[in-house]
Amino acid sequence: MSKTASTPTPTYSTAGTVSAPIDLSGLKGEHTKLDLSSSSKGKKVVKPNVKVTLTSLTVNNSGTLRRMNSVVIPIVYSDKFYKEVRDPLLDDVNKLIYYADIPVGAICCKFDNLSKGSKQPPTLVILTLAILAPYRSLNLGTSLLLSSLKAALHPTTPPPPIPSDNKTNTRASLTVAAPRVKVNRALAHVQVGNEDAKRFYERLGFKEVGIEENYYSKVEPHGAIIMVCEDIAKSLGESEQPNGSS
Amino acid sequence: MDIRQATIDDLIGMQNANLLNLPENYTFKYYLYHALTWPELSYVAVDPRGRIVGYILAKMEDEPSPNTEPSGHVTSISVLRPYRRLGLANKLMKQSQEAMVAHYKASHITLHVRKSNRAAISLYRDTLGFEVHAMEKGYYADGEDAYGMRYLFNKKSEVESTA
Amino acid sequence: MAHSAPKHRQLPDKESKLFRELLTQYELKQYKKGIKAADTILKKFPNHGETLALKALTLHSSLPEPLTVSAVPKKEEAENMARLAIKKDITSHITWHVLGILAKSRKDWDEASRAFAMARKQDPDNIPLIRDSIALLTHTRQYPAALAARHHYLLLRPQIRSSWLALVIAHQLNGDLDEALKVFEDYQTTLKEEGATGPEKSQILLHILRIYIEAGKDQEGLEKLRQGVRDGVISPRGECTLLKAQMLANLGRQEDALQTYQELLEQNSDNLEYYKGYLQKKGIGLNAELTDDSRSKILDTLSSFAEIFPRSAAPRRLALDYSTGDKFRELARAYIVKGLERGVPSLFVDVKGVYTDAEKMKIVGEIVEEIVGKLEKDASLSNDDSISPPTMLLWAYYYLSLHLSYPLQTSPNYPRSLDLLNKAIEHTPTLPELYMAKAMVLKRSGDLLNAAYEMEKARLLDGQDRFLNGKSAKYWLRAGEIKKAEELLAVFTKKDLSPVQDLTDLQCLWFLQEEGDAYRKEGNLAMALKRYQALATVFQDYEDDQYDFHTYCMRRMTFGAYVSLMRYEDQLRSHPGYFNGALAAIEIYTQVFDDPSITEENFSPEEEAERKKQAKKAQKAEAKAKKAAATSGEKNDPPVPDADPTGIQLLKTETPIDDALKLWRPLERLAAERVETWLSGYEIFIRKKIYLAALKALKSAQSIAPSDPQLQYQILHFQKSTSSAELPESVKAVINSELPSLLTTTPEELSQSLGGNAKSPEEIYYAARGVFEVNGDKQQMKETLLKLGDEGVTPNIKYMEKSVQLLKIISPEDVEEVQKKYRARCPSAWVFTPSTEKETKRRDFEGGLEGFQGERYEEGKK
Repeated sequence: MSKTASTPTPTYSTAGTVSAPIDLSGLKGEHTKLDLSSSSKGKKVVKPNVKVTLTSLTVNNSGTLRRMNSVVIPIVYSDKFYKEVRDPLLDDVNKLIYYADIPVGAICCKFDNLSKGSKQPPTLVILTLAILAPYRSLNLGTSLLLSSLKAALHPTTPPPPIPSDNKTNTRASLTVAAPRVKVNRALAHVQVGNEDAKRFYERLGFKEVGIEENYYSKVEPHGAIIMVCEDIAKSLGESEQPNGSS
Repeated sequence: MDIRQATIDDLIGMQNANLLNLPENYTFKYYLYHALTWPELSYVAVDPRGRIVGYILAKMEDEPSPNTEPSGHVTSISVLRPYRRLGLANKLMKQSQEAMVAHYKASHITLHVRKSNRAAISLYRDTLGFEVHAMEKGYYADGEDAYGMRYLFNKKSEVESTA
Repeated sequence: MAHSAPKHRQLPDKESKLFRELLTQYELKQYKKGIKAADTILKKFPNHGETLALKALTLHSSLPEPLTVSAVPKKEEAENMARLAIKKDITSHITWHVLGILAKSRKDWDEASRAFAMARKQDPDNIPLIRDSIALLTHTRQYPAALAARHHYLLLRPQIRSSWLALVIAHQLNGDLDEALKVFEDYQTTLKEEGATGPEKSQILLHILRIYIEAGKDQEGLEKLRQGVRDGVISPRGECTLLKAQMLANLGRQEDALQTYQELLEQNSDNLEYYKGYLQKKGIGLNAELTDDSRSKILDTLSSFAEIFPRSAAPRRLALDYSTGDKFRELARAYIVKGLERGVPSLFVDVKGVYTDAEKMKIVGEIVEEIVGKLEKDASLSNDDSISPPTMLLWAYYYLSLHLSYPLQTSPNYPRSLDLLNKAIEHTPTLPELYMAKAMVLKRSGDLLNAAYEMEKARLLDGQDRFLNGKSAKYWLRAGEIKKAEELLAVFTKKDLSPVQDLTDLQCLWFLQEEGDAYRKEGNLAMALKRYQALATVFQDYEDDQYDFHTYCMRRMTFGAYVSLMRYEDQLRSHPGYFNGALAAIEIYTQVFDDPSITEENFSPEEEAERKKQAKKAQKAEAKAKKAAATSGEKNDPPVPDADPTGIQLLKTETPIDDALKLWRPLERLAAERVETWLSGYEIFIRKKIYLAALKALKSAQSIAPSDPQLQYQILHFQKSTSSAELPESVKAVINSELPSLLTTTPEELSQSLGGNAKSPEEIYYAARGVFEVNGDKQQMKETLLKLGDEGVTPNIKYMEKSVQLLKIISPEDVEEVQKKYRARCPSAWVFTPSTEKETKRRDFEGGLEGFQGERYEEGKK
């Protein structure tokens, strides 16, 4: 499952043209193709093969993300939440997943403990992970989570910020942010009693580290199991060679 | 959907499709200018009722200096939302590109895209094979930058001959 | 030019020098200096026509574009001065030229063309004059005169390539193809083509080939084409090869033509014309009644093309048109399965073309029902271990729902259709297409507001998708929510303009039509008229836009495109964008004629007060603007405001029928094959009491659609109107001899048989009107109109609405009864929903929309 981030070296000469090709490594477009074939063993094969892509969160698809979360997750998130998950710094970890060009799932995360004085190591916190019911058991959730884990471990230059509509763009607001540090730890909350979800995280190297009572205030049960993956690199099987592909 | 060269009769339909789908719009005269200067380069996709559901409006870069090679340019390309997933954009682009080579000996084709329009960037790069080759500061009326994207024709023929 | 200038034109040396300076200053755009120079001359020689003319021109050129408030009087001054100049010096080419230029800038092409002709009379060899004159003559379709001017131009400039080639085109437009080709031969022997660029040579040759075909000289054309391809002048891609195929076919060389179509298909395997050409050249007439043998031949050919071009849907889709019975079932199933697997949203639009054949529509329905059933049961269509993509069931629901609600169905099943879409939405709630489909089904069932709310959900899923935005706005307009629609549209229009202004500037036809319709529906005829007239203006602009190209294309040598432009512009107004707007406007004008009181605004006291307030505000603003313009000069000079922002001046016209006629005239010429043109024409002429024109409209309509229900009504109406009118003998004689061909029985018999036989909603509506026209029996009219609500009649909300409108005028006491029956038949029709229920429903819809993306409160986390 390798991303198409690497730019093909231009095979043409630029002599004689005014502008030189610019480095594309920061420019990933909105979509990334996913290859699910290797991970669909032991399940019924889908025929014909379907194109699956990841798409960044933008103002454009914010409505889709809201709708997705509202039907899959029994918690209502605020406008603020939806604005924060579009932060350019989170672009490579927060994604919608499209199945045959239809949005069917999404992952929203944030980073904790990025500042130097933090007691805990930098952590990827998974806030929401949603897959529409008919599309479960197609490995989409795993792919989505793996892609975020991988991105956390291998930071890239964030995409350019999108100018806002109200035309108050200053140079500062349009400056591309500095790259993030490597993040090798991940954390997720699973509602007490949700064994499927727990197993899902365990398969990817997460372990239960404790319970947070009253984590969910509006839904029963209120408690959440805290699941932590202490070594993302190991989970991805690439602790020796950070650039190796799966 | 029927794919064919755009004629004068199609221009109102192209203008309509453009207004339905895209935020960059032009008055009729601009379409006339394209069709009456480079009649072979614009194409339309037409539904069974004769409605224009996709188009490419294209031109050659004007007045090439003696040392630059002729270059095609996509002014606008669009496929109405209900007509996606038919590969129409690809087909329209291919027809226009082949016409640029056949009639104007174009060596490459360029287009502009808003820096923030990442969906379009993906389409041009991943589906249509374009690469970013320049950035134009403040290209759009509202001050946004544009990426200049380019596709080289000889590269394509190499791929074809090795395939 | 000035070898013997008449006395009144001569100036002393000093002024003569100033005059020459004035010319230079005009050309250098130093307008202020120019006006000063002109004034100096005029102080001494106030009657010097040419100076007056140049001053008018200079002043006119100095005005801002678009025109501002302070510039309006200056423009008038310039126009008056130009006319005065002619009076002072009627034999000067300058005075006429200036008059022509000013007329041209007003786009008064006829006056401009006359003025330029006068100017040329005074100065025949003036090159710029001839050039503009040619453009004007061509623009106003005075081809013989344009040709003569072209000829003259060539004599003056024989060494320029475009002088020759433009003459070729002038001959072609004038209909003389042989002469066109002869001039081209002369050109080739006179001038060598060395200066032309490759693309220019190619454009020239291609167009000459077209003339050869038009002139029926296919053999010569074919030789020239071969030579051109051999020499690399033209590329065999596209039109060149199509021309070759046509020439070969005209020459009877079917085999070669077939081969050529094959080449074309290899260039573009998605072009339907190429497939049809290929099949035709194979000797299979596609329009004639097909035999089983030719059917199977066609299908064989198409199936081999489907193998050669696996990425093109065209051969597989065409096969659905030419197959029948079990073969159709087999092919259609494969086609539909493939489309559902790929998740092609337009599959239904694509396939429904075959629905004109009721048998095929039925088969398709069965196929999709079967697919849905199997997918619901097994999650797979195949018998091996694999499963189908989950999206396939989704698209199958989507297809079936559109199929069931399709208007061609004798009894559209809206409830099942909506039910399927709800299932699909439950399956995948993030797909905008599902909400769009739901909106469409609701719209078809008449539930307009509900439809708008569903479309709004689609939009909320992707607020930056302009297509969804426009659709939502359109649905709000249909539901009568004009303000809401405009607010949405503003997301994609220029921020410094109103959305209406921007969309008008951008010639957005659908919006002008839809908003016009929305205003009309809510009874605001003035604003409706304003939008429809804006449509007419857009088409005037489309026509005016061609002007620059008369000169431009001769320079660029894009003759083929140019000639098609000329032909296109000649039938421009048959475009539905003009047609529909014009018909709607004409109906309003006839309404105004029948009852001028509808132009009076009836306001409640509150509205009246509000209006007065607004008017005062506007007055103040205008006064302020004027003052600002006067004090600060050119700065803060606002553009001229819309003189009729509410359209009331349009509506309060003194001459509604003449205004209607003005819109109708282009239809008479350019849309004569549409029955609506003549039905609309009748309504105009009968009101103008031009009975013979009305009769001609009826006869034209009859020749197109003899049993058109509205025509039947109009015949009865005509009979009644003319039998009671006082007519000149000659007119009476014509009517007496012509009417029997329209009305073969007595009016009573016709009206009764219409009433008895009426089945379709349109027939019922016009039969009711016909009955009332003949016997004035309100009871019988009501009985007939009630039929629209019968079980056996396809429900049609448009005619139900029209009926209610009719009753409101003729028989208001029956409105309630009729409306009640209609409502029982169309329970979800918004127009028949009582206002109290409307409010409840609106609240429900609003609530549904709010919950669509989860309620907006802080999340339940700490």
